[in-house]
Amino acid sequence: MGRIEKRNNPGILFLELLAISILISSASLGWLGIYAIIFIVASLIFRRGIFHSFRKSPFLIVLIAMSFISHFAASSNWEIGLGEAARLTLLLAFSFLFIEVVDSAELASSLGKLFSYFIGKKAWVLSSMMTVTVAIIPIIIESSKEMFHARQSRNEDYLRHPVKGISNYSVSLMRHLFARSEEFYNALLARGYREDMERSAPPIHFTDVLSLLGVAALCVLVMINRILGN
Amino acid sequence: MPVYLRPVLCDNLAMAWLEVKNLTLKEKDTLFLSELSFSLEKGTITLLAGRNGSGKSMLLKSLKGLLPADGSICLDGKELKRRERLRSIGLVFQETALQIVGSTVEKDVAFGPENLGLEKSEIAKIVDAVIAELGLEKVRTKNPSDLSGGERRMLSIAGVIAMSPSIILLDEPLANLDYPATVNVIKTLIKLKEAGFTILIASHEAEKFLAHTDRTIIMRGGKIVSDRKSEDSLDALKKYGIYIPPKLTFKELSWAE
Repeated sequence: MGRIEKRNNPGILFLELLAISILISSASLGWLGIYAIIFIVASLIFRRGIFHSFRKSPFLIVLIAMSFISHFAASSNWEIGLGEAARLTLLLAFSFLFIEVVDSAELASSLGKLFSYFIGKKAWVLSSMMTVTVAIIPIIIESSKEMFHARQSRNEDYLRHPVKGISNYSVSLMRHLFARSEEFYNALLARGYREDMERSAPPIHFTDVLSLLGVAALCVLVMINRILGN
Repeated sequence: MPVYLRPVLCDNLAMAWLEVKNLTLKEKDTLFLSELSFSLEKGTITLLAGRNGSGKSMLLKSLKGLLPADGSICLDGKELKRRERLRSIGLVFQETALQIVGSTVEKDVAFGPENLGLEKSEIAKIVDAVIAELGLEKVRTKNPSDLSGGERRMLSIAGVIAMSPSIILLDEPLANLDYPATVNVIKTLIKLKEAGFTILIASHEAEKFLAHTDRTIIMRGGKIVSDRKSEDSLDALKKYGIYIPPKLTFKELSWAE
């Protein structure tokens, strides 16, 4: 078990993302520039580029553009429009970086571990629910795709009778998914599944503590800056 | 195989390990299993053969405690309640995707021992031992979805072995496997038998398992129609429509080189 490569703790990264999101949501243009630099440093540390994530989702670029236009139109102030667009871009960029770096199952177990210090076994129950959900989603997607392809291969034309076709497909899919979920539950039972049991979670390294302290210091700095500003 | 992975063996080797009496599974008016009685001796492999719909999977799930069957199931002379069966009987499902939960191979193997509430150090020991025994070292940090069909099958067996069950039930363990993966699974089952595990394999591919099993039970329509030594079961298998290559003797059916 000790051979998992040393990585940052997903739970700590989640807390950091949460703190930075709050800071970004209320930041001025100048501070947004600082957060952009922090983002660039973070993506260099993790050696992950997120441009492909934006490229794969042109919808998000349209959304950012719409955010700028609507805020600019509402306030007639290009700074406000730019600020809102930059805010959205940064929030998305940090979220993409987080998704690139973190494994969802590891996030579930490390959050379980973190929150178990505060709310006890309930944290492990929530963590198990997350883990099971993460495990069943690919099964559901795969089943839906297979069923869709199987119907297509039998020349089902969804465009000719869209309502009938889609309602038929939905009913069959739901029945199939119920059966699959039951089987999945049985498989979990067969492996002695207990939702409140402690799971192995990624350890907290020195670098995690360091980065958490860094984010905490940033929060304090922003608060002092606001108090002095007022 | 490390001692802590072996099932707890009792002293009297001749004694029946698992004894099933009058196992019946009925839902509304449909009778799925009809008063099944049989026993499995410890440290043996038993083949549960039968055509599609004969009730093999239903029987495995009932033995495991996943289906509410009537009758008695005794292990080493002691009747087991449903909860005890969930703990002491391991079941490998036909479809590996349903049974794999962890995001990496080692996490998936650890899932069962974690559910048992074992100490972390003990879980780590078990995970290392099971992964080494089943030859999964090279893929231990991989995501199960990146594994081949054969590796996924070995992982689903590993997940069950890690819970140290007294008996291992396998539902169509060779489904969708190519020749090398088939041989690998059969060799692994032989290794587990030698380590003391009692194994019950439900499969319609009798020709692949027959030479490696001690006993063969044939099911038809939810009933047991034959229960005898595997080497004496060739005629019965043919009689009940289960494929056995013609002109081959019992020993020539071996799939493990």
